[in-house]
Amino acid sequence: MTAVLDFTMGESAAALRGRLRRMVAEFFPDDFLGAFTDDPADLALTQRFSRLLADEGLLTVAWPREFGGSDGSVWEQTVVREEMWAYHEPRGPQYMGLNWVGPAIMAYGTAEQKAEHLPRIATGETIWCQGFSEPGSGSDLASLQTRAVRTGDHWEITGQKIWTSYAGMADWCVLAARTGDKDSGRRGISLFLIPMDRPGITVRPLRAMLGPHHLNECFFDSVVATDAEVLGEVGTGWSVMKTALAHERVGIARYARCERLLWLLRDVLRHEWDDLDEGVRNEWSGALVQVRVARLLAYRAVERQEGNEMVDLEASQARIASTTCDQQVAEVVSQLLGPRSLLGAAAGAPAHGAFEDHWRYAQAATVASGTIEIQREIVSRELLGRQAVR
Amino acid sequence: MRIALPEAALDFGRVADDVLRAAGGVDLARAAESDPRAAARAQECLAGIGMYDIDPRGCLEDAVAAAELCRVAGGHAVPYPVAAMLLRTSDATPFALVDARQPIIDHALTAGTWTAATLTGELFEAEPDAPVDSKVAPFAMTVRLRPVAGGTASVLDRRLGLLFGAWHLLGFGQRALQLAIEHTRVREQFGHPLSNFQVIRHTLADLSVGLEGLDLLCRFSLWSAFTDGSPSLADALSVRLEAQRVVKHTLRMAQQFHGASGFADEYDISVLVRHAQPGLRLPTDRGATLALLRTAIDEYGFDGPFHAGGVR
Ligand SMILES: Cc1cc2nc3c(=O)[nH]c(=O)nc-3n(C[C@H](O)[C@H](O)[C@H](O)COP(=O)(O)OP(=O)(O)OC[C@H]3O[C@@H](n4cnc5c(N)ncnc54)[C@H](O)[C@@H]3O)c2cc1C
Repeated sequence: MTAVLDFTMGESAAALRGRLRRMVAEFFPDDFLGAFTDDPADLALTQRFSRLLADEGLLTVAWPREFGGSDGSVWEQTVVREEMWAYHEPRGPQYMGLNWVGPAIMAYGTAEQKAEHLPRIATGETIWCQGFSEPGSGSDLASLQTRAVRTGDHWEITGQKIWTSYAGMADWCVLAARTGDKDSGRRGISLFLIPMDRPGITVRPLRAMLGPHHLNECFFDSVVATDAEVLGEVGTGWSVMKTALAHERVGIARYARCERLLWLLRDVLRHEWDDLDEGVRNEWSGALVQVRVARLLAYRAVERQEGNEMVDLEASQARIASTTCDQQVAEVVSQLLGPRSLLGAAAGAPAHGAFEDHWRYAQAATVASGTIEIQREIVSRELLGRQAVR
Repeated sequence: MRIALPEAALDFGRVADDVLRAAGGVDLARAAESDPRAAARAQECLAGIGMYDIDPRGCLEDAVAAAELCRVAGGHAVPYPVAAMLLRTSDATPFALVDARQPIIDHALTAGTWTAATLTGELFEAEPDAPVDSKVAPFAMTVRLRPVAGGTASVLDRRLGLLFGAWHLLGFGQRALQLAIEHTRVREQFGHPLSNFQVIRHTLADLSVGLEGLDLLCRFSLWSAFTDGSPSLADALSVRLEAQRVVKHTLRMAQQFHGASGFADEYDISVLVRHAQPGLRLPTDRGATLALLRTAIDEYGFDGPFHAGGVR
């Protein structure tokens, strides 16, 4: 008989959580704050760690075996996501490939594309970037203007992308370009799988509050692409992008880092905790509740995805909860730390600067992968189109 | 992991909803303000669908059915203390959580004697004293408490008291959102339905996120009430806190989006806003809930089942 309700993830998922924690603890120094710092050694470390995860079958745990995965459950995959994000994403830029590029190629790619790309994503050998946003096309992504023009037996791509994370280090890009006419909107977009060393591509890093590698500009000047590099059918890029973005929305377990940091803070402040302002300590408790709510909303989206149901609504609801919770936690943490919340890379910074780092990241949570306003548009469209709330 | 409610509980909820709707829905609540027979009609409906056969302390399955009934009852502002009767301590003695310093019980006239408990477990016999005589608590009364010598309310009773109260509020909130959606789709100003205005659409979206999250937290904490062997009330308090935050805000915004009609009793939202107030404020307001939650977390933690060996 199945349980009435059950909020445990199963023994294998729990064991996996313990195993991942041990691996992270053994592999990374205490002051590790992710791949994207001014010290290139951090990036190198994450690349090595990704290979290690791959060797143990943990990098693409829920992928089918035929594509280099371990046939794991979505809950095992959820545990991986949570533990990785909680510990500053020790897979570095890999998560882009794992989280949505791989699944998109699995769903829409040709046999050749699958054979070429999936094994190398599964082993953590390639870094991918997402070339969607443009200077004139952010939230209104379907207005993008980068052109792919048919020239003889190939395509020539010209245009500019912006905010492209990891573009400076990426081997490959999923590039969205207009193959239809200027006014073709959603129907005229195609996706190309392009190696970043192809002639005609220039990347310029953008200095940012988040630190290096997160934001770049990419210029495409008559970059050649073949038919074999089109992902899905010509003109169907929009629907692939929509699926990709839905994956992306539940792919980052922000609540997991929030929860870890709230307890870490408690530990850091243990000697002064009882003397801290009661109101702020209350807020700390309230923040734990918001973290749990965000977690449960993410689980619901995962459960729906597993059942292959439409998840637009659930993914966006989960995303709204997890990004607002990220900012709420950042605020509570800095209230409790007081002036020490400004200590970043300085010696003696609480938790080696993890709180300062989190505050900066959390600010961008409601913009990256589709702004919170756009998530609200998606949710309200679904709501107003449906009578029943439950 | 099983997040979805079992089909049997959903079916039960649908039956309860149909029966209550057929009996007048929110009209019963409206009528009850001047006619005690409305409460009796509500009770008949609830008895008819088997409310008295549920043993919410017995197993999670029954508790889920009881909780679902509370939610549905909230959606119609049923003028009857459903949660208190589900947790009755004898045939005719309902159970309520109270603040011993200012003991007030909603729908107190339902019984001559109540079992009352504080969140710390002190146990009392309660007798209705005087109506609070407020439009936002038409059925609430102050009560006289007599300590039950040597008695303590069990952890499960206190957890279920908090949880059923939260499910009840969830029902109020879900109905309020539904009314707000319906109203803003139909009402036109400036040549457009109100729901064309983005500030309204986006608020509706945020309200839905709050309610969906509350719904899940309700399910989680009910499960945890039967699986967490510690004496902690943290999970149950967290749901009360979230219900207070989310439902208060949902009711407020739903009323706001009705304009002046939101205050007219012929509109359901006005009745819902008023009749939800006792549940939102008794036995603890939001600040008191939060302070209790902090103490409970200090003592017992808040890991839930999601961590192998603690959060660190
Ligand atoms: C850290 C980070 C990493 C990123 N990485 C990538 C990447 O790897 N690849 C990539 O392609 N892109 C990336 N992006 C870009 C991201 O997808 C866009 O920033 C996002 O889609 C918003 O676009 P925009 O910045 O042009 O803002 P705009 O669209 O100009 O929006 C500005 C403001 O106006 C609001 N707004 C816009 N339209 C509406 C509307 N219809 N109703 C109400 N409000 C509206 C927005 O919500 C926002 O608040 C990244 C962004 C960040 C912050």
